[in-house]
Amino acid sequence: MKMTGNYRQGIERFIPSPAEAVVLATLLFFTWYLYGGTGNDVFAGLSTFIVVAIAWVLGVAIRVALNDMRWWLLVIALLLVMAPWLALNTFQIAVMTEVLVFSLLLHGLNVVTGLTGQMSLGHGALVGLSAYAVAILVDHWDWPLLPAMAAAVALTFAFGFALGIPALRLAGPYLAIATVAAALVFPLVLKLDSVQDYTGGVQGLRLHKQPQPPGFIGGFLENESIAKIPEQKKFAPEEVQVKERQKFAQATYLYFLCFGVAAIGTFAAWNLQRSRFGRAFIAVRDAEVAATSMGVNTALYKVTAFGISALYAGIAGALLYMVVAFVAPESFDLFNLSINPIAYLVIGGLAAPGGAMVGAFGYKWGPEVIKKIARTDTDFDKLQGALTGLMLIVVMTRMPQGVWGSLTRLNSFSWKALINETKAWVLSRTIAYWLAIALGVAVVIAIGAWFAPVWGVFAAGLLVVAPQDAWAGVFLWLRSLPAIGRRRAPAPGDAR
Amino acid sequence: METFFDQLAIGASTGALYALLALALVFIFRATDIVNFAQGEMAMFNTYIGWSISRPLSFSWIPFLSIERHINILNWHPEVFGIPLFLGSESDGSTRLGYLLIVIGTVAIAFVMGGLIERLIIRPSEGKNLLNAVIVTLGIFAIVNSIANWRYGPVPQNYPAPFKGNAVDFGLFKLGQHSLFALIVGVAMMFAIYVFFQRTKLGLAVRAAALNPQASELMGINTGQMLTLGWSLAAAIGCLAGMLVAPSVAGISPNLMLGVLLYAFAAAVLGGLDSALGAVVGGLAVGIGQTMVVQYIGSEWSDIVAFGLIIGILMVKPTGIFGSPVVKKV
Repeated sequence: MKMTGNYRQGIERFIPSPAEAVVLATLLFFTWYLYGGTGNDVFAGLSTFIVVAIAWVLGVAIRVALNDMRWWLLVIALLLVMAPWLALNTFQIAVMTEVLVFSLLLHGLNVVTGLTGQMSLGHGALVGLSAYAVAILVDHWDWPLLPAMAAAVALTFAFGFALGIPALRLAGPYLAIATVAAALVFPLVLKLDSVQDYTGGVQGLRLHKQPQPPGFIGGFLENESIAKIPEQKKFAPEEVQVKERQKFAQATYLYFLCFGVAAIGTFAAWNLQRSRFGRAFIAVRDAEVAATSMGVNTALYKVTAFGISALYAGIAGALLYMVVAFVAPESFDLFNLSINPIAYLVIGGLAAPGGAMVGAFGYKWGPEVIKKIARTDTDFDKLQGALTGLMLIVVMTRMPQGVWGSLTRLNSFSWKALINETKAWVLSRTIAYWLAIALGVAVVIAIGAWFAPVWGVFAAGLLVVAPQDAWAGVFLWLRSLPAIGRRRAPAPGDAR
Repeated sequence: METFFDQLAIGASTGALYALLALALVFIFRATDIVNFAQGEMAMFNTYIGWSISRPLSFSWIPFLSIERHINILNWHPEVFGIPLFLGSESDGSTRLGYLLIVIGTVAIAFVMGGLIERLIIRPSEGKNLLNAVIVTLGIFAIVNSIANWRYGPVPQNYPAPFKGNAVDFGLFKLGQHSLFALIVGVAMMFAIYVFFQRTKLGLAVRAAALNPQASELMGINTGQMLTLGWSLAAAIGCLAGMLVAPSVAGISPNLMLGVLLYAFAAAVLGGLDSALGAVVGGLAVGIGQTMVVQYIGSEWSDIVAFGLIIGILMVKPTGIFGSPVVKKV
């Protein structure tokens, strides 16, 4: 067995590393949310902890066997397979399905933005092109769904290649704005009178028949012991229960269809990055001129990157139409599918398939969680955008590599070094400096009496964007705690 | 033919506002290489601040600050062209700040706010991936937009305008008084900006800090301060544009500047993101082109033509009409 960096012995094996602690906390929060969140059901909370405890015990067991971090991949895959049964209702299954679809879109964006370094803010148009192509083929020419989806993906792939050729001339912000322009024009063109016969104008197009699970799968999923129906329908009449079970079977079937595609897509993205193509993309991003002089055909690779990216976007668009069963120009407005995905991709972490997965998860579940919390306070609902924005800024200033980058970096994290650095930094400032900070906080609090919520948001933002000043107190408190960080196994040459 | 010249004048007036916002974008791009998506929202929020100080005065919550009582004792209401300079009595008997005072106050607040945003939010994300800074501006966009929605609500509010009278007839064309005012202020601002950057030492320092930070540091310029100044100026200019836009549309609402920002982007890219002259030319071209398309082709085509044209022009000139070409180094 290869000894990896996180080699541990004895009782240490049962202490989660910082990275694992983050994953466990995320699991805890997410399952808590799935099982009713703020509800007062004792069992909801209990099952949350049971899920996390099982994950932890499983993790420790596999770690003992493998001494490796990769077991988390297994746990995540297991959770994804179990997701329809973890979810509370069919709506949550649908959201999970969309997470998988969006992860495909983000993988595609990752190829063009993360690996090749071309900023594209117009992928919403590609997704829309694919979704509308399927919709028009099905709705207007009565194609069956699957061939229509294949044709739409092929069309988007070809279009992406074609789009890559003019994009060769543009660089940096100019490319970004040209793609923004494309994303802006796309929904407007759909609404034009001359194409309304095909696109349905503002009303959009509806998919009347979503794919049904074939006989034996449907029978299996509708089985009483397999299908999960909402608690309040448990004692409903038989026909209602049957209907609920059918709904569950339908949603779960779609989920697993998307799961299959997303798994293949993620695997392909993972391998693409380490292939000849992936390395060429990264070379184009990091040093274009140098790559050219080394014999890399930069133009070819840039166009290929656009093509692959459009392929992913096309698959995502076709699946999106299948899952949502509806397209309208409003779905493809600038923020929904063009700017937000890239924002969440950067939050998740560029140039890493894991980052795309994390980003897709955050993109679909972040607003849902915020909405859930918002139920307790109506004003909170209006500040949802502010929270999202704050999150964007916090992640971008505190974790420039994104969440995934920080997670992988946490392996080499040491509390001791952090505390020492913080201590040195705090001591390097004069007392007058800290008094000034305290005075500033006092003033903000005093003014806050007049304009409290805005200043509250402002101060919260300040706490995170200027952390050296604000968090210093927290770190000072942390210093008093015993260091629970991972210790390095003594190497043979180490002095005792 | 008269409609043509009417539309031309209206287009020039809108275009001047686009050009102002585009100039703000160009400042920030030249100084920090950041495409500032939050520019429009910053302007919108500052315009709202102007709106809130333009409402009937009541300082009852701070008794010793009841300015209007003190000033009204003097009964001194200077006016310029019929606009109250400091305080005006409305027809409903309330006292409001004069337009000039509102403008000065709002621009001052915008100036401070722009600098604060640069110092507190933009600076920690500088020097990393360029995309990060762009995402940060998107974050500012979301925060400001939702705070405005929450604080002021989505309903458009009336916005004070100094000139609300009938259209002025120039013979060849007619132009509404507010549009004329916007055109004049826009052109004057552009001239002022030109003078500041080309004829003053401070403007030279800002340009130097943007062009070559290391060399200008060696020459004794505090480049950090210059960047902050650039953001402050951009925020102030954007705020001025917002105050001129608000009365000419339905009033001020949280989505006031979204459309304007997109056209300003179009203008800035059309002229070249690093060229101030390009921003002005691009702004006027976009404004006039937009009104012409609405007049002669149909309003649903105006955005399609505008953004289609941008893609087309970028295909021919990849860095805009006046932009300097991108130089790649190993």
